Amino acid sequence: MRRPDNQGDRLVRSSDLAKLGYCERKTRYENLLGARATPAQASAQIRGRDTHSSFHREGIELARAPRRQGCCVASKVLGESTRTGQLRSFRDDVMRRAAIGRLLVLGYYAVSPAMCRMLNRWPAAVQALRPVLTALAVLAFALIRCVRLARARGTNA
Amino acid sequence: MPELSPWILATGVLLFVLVLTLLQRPRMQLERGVPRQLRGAQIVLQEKSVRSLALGLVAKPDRVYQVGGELVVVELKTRPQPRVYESDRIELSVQRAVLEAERRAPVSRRGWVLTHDPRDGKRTALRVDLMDRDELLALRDRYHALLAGRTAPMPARSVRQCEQCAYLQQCQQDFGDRYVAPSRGSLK
Repeated sequence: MRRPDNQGDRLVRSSDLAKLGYCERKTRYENLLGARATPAQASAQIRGRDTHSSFHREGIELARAPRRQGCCVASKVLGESTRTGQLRSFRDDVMRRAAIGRLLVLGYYAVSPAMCRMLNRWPAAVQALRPVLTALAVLAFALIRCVRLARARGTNA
Repeated sequence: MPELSPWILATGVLLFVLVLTLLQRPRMQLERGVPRQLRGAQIVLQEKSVRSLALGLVAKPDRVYQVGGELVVVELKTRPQPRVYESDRIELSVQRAVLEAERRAPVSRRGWVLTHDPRDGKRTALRVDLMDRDELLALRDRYHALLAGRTAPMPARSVRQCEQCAYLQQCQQDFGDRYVAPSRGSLK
């Protein structure tokens, strides 16, 4: 159903709505008189656009850079399963939140490609590791739940 | 088996840490200012419009990370002071709402503003508690009401904000409550 003023049909941009947090009158004037900027604001906008462009480029490079997420041992042994997801969540939600955890994750990713090559050579090792990693994933899942519960209590307190 | 000296062991560990740190340097440089909770996490979206017809909102997040099972929105702001404004909170809240509606993925109630100081390039990450959906939709309705002239617009909270406003003269003419000394005003 169309709204009588026809305004409801238009999508509101997040940047436009955000301006209400600054000054509602300014939003109204921009709509009535068109966008205006003082010379200082115009140069700040140019600076902001440049910074955004480099931030965007950095983001593209980061997406291309080798990530520390290649949980290749777990993927190889357990496949892309719920258990692998639980181990990843443990890495992101628990390990990466502490300096020592991040160091351990770094260490793991330094040695995991070699471990994967070994597993390729000895398929029997994959079978042997499966129950071990499954047990670890179950333990990790239980720990994540405890940590999330503790965080929720901390937030509510 | 010969006894391993603790010093050799410690040196080995130190060398290992050093090599790892050197290997991660390019990534650390790219992630400068990024909060530690998001370092190494996957960027799932950047500078791409996401629209929700159901909410009547559209947003273009600077970056969206996936951490655990949640999406986290990040917005870069170029400003000298590492400070979060209400406008940042609104912008990030819109991003959260449209992502949740369109990607059907849980989005964290906490977003991040990354301030970039144009003087020295220093970046600071500031956490922001985002608005809930009802609060946001009420604001969207207010926006439509303001543009349609059904509601009187509120002025900026502080007159200091008006010093840099390009509509100061017009505002002063219409409302007469935003006096700024001529030497400080942007329009003379």
